[in-house]
Amino acid sequence: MKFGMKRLLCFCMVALMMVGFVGCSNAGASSKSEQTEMKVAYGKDTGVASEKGNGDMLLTIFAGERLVEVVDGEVVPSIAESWEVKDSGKTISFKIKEGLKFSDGSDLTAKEVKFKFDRNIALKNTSWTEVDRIEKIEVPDDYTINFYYKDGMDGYVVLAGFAEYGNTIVSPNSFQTPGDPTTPMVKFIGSGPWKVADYVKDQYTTFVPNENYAGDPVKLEKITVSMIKDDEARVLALQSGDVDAVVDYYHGGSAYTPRNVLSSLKEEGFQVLKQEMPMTTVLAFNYTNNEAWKNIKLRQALNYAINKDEISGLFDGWISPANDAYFSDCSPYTTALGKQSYKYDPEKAKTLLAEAGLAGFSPKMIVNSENADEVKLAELLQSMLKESGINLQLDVMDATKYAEVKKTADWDLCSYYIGGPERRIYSRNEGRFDKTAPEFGSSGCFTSDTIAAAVQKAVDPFDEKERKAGFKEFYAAIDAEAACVPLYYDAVFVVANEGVEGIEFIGSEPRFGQVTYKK
Amino acid sequence: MDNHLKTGLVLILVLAAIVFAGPLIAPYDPFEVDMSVRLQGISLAHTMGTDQLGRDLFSRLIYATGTSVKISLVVVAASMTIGFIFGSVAAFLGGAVDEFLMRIIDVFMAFPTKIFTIAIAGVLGASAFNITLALIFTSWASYARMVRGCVLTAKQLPFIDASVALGANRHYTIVKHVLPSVFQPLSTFAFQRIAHTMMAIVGLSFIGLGVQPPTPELGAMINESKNFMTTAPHLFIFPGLLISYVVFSFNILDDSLRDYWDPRIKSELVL
Repeated sequence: MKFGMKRLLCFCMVALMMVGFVGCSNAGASSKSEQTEMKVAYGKDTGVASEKGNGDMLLTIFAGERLVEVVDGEVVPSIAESWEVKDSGKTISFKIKEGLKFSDGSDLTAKEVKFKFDRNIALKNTSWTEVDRIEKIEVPDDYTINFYYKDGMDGYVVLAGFAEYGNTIVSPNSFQTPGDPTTPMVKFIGSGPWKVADYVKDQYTTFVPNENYAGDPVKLEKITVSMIKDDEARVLALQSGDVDAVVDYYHGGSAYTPRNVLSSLKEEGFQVLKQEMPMTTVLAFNYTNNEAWKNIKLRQALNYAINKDEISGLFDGWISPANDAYFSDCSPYTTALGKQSYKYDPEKAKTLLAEAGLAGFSPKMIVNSENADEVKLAELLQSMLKESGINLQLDVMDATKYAEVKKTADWDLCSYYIGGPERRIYSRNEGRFDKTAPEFGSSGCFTSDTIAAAVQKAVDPFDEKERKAGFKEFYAAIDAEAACVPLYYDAVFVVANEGVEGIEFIGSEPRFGQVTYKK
Repeated sequence: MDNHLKTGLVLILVLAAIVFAGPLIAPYDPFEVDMSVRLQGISLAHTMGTDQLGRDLFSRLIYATGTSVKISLVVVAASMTIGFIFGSVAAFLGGAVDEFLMRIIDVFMAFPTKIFTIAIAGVLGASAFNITLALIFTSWASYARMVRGCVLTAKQLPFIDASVALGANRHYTIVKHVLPSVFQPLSTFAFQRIAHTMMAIVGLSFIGLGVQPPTPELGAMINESKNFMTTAPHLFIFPGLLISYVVFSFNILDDSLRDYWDPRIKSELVL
């Protein structure tokens, strides 16, 4: 090799080494700089543009407000500063706060509020359960809106229903034909702390501060919510630094960070923030199609046959076992008012099965293969039930087929949930246990006249003491009839980089308004 | 018998022992859940550790290998039989029948096999039976084309003419002379396809379209291990190694059988 070539090689090697040393340098490692932007991974599209929809829950919390909110079980003011139930419960009247504006600077008055409910009625938006019960909506002045009910309103559950995600108030300018509530929503102009700056369907939504927001201004200058559908891919995006936080689906129950990676993420230095919600995953019986489930001894046997502590263990303890009340302590009217009377006792389960003449019972459980946690839960249940002499058959299928099969008679058990985000605790309990509720349909749990009467006492009274007494009766009723098997209390998780501070949960919904981020 | 063939046979014999004598070898019931020992590493009690539900990984691997290999064998045997019937009928009858059958085969071969298999398995639903059907449906055509080619070649060989000249009837000639000459290339092709089919099964199970839980299967086991790559790497290392072993064994046997039956290939390669 010529001397010149050797010199060139030596020079290159030294240069490479120097570059390497610079990479290993500690300079700047200790100082974290304040960030003005943050990237969040989320498993759903935010639905900013939608033909008939109202936007995803994250969107409505980030960029929208409702007439009222539900906090700690109580309806509290939001866009409406007060409300009044009149005409023996046939009318509810809201007084709108003055001076409110949408993020585009237009005024938010009773007329705009009415526009949103007109849209819900015109498009038969089922997320607002009162759609078919409304006789008319009137706006007597700029700051008053009256809802008239055909047969009178049910009670507190109806008032709380105005806090539904689908009742988020958006500007008439959000629609393809401004002012026409039946045309598709093409942009989301709300009155929440953030406003949508950019949106690409199924890819990302960029939020920036809404300078017209009436509350405390947000601290970051931009949050980009990236839609990453696959659960594991969201975790990988966080680990690789592509995003700064991963947020579970605001509703809970799907599109969440796999529970069994949370411990490893914590070990890797990420923050894991958990907020339990008034939602409980249960084992539901297909009693409408299978007579066997009408036998209370069978339902009780299932309740005795399942060890909920092991279920919690399956998720590394990140999820609490539903051993005590039907809902976790996070929600009002729970532990203190109703304990379950069933404790894990496989021998008792065997005895009850024999008494019911169902020894060797072989129910079929349908399982959604796209939820890895649900599959593992089903395998664990199969093993547990075997101890009590129940031969559980698993039928694992993709989400589309699962939804189809669930409507048929071809199954006995499925993993399901009761309750929901806090703003839904009234409507969701009514919807699960009262056959006359609009939501019941294919979503109902086992119920009876006693349970249905009890749930009405829980969700209807405006008086808190009466509601508490009603919940006590409701819990006792579902316990007495072993209406379902509560498995674990659901929670919403946020996993974030170490420097992210100020994420607060209101109810079970993470809020990013006061978030600061140092990186 | 050369060393390659001996090695291949030994590897396959070990595999056969795992597949067919699995229940005798497995130290635990592969379905037995024990949450008190979940996600344990390698130990004397559990030589390959335990999974998310505390099931013994070694026992599950033995059963999983059996599941994958048995499905592969069924798929290959069924595809070979169907392909053999179609291919030989087309070649013997020739003319319009040949043309018609070949166009059917062309249609089947025109689809991208993997995507077609995924589509069928997706429509039929995920199960061992459906995955077997889907794989047979998408594999038989290649056997048929290969058999047709071999039969057409064999029909023109001098010893066939000699057999006919000596007065042998058509049936005798086909059974005694033509079909045996197809056997060797067909067997080699089939051995080659076992490994290929095995990988397809593993892939389909990995994406959730194959064997369903709690039945152990290698692809499904790797899929389940995704969330434990850092905390319990044994969950994907052992199934991965086993897949490599199975594929390697069949490939070695395939290569050495081809060399054994047709030494000219090897000598041509050396030249």
